[in-house]
Amino acid sequence: MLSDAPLTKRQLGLLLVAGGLVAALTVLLVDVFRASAFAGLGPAQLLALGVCALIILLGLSLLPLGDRLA
Amino acid sequence: MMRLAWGNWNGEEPLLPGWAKWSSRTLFVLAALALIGQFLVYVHYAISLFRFPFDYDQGEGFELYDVVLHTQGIWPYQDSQVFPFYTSIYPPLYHLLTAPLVLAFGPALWTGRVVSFTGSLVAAAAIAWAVRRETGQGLLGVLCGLSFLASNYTFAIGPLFRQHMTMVMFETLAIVVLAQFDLNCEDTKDAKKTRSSSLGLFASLRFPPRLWLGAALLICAGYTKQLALATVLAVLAWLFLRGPRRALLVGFVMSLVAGSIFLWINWRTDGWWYVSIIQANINAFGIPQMLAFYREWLELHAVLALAAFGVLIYETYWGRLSLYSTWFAFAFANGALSGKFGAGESYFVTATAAACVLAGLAAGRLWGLSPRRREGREDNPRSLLAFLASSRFKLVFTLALPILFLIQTRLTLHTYTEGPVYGPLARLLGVVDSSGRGYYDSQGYTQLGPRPARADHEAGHRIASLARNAPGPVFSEEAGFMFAAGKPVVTNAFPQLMMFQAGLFDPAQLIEMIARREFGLVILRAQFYPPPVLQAIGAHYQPLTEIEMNGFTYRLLEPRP
Repeated sequence: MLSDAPLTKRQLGLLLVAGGLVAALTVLLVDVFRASAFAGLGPAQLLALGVCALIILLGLSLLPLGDRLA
Repeated sequence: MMRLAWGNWNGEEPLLPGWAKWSSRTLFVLAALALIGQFLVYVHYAISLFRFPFDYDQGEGFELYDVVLHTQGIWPYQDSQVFPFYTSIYPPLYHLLTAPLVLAFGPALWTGRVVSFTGSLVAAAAIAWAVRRETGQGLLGVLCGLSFLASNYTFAIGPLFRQHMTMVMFETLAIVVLAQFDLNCEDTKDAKKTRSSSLGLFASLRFPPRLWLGAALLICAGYTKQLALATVLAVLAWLFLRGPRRALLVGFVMSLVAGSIFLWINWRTDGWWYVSIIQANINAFGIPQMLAFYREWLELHAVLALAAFGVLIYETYWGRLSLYSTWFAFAFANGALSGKFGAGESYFVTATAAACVLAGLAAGRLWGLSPRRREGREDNPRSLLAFLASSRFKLVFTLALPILFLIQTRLTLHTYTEGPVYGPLARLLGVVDSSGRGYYDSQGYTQLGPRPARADHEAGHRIASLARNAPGPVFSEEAGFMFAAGKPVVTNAFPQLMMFQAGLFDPAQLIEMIARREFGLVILRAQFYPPPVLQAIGAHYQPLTEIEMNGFTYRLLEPRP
């Protein structure tokens, strides 16, 4: 059963990194499932990838904070 | 309440020098006067709109029609491809809240405007109360609540017959109810007892009433306007940080309740609820538009935004994330949806509310810092904490805080510029009309904000009179004229355009009626109709007259002979 303990900063960081990676992958795969008006990555995809990168960086920056409560 | 102004908030800090106390008092009085002045302008604007019987913002009349349909027991979520070519793209709660007023006083636009305006006041009061509760400073809470009302965006849309402000009210109330909730400390004895029994997982559903009250308010927000989803997600994310398993259970129960209501309405409307509420709201997205709104919000709310981001960063790295910070993060991110076709500045009102709470928290926490002993040793006197807790910082901060409120008020300044009171006031403030209608707004030209003048009232009545005298139904881009003229409401322009763009609206039957010249009059304002409909109107109707109202040109057309 899923733990009910409060999340630590490290766990939050890991979640953000994982979430950012999954989101970035989804953004990259959009063109596979849907026709796009742009050859390659469109401006909205580039923006979304930038946001994903920020989320991943935020997550990475939380990892060193260890077991302090998030 | 005025303890803040005297520079001695908690009775624990050393008294400031006399000159600092008096300077602080004066500055706080000035800040309070500035914000009260903005509030009075807001009330004046609201009363002006209550007295204006026609659409001020496009779409208000259609919201009124939604209310009327609800009072008749008819869902407004319909097939808009057949006469009267009408559907609503918003959830029903705001309309249901307005329904008693419409039943009591008849279909008038002031009813929904009063509900919306009241919602903005409740949201501001909730912000003030939250700040007071968290910091113990009543004056700080009042200033933060007034800052919310002083925001250009709150001001512009607060008294409109739109559901947005009621959504923000429910969101803010939910956050205030839940902010001090602790999954691990506030379980009732019964809940603990039940959880320890053999009922297992679902025994965790025995949460304190406060949690369910918050959840109910969130569902209310969502059924007022879909945009509240970001606040729902913020609350669930914050609960997840505090207790993942129980947060998922709360989310499950909320989904069950909200989903059941959704499916029930969808069943009752033969699926038009889903088409209207979800599919019709998936629009084209413009990045430049989104970036422009972000930039404008940050420029207009710079002080509040800096304080909010400061608290968010502090809690992310040094403290523990509060619900307020989580809410702000989600609300600010949700502002990205302002890039949608048809979206606007209102998408940032929730972020403004959250920023106002966080600004109050930042001020209260900075003042509350005092030199502390930790683990047997005092803070390093050269540390940032020691500096923030020093009397020198307190002195500067006591003077700076009201100045920051004054700066923020100047950033969002909006006032009328004509008349015996506003004219001299505008000259004193050094501002001039930026709308062409006797109104200054720090965001520049804006359609919303100026008061309807006598000429606008007369113009509205003239249009309504022409509609009343026209034979048969009237094709009008605004429904307010139809209520005044006693004509049925036909078409809902903007949803038709969005649904046409999404391939959800076939205008064939509407074009047939236009071709048969069955409408005695056509009233256009922004011409937010599908292009084939506008082409059909151009082919079968000819200009009758043009009438100016509220800065817009209304084009009236009659059937070609």
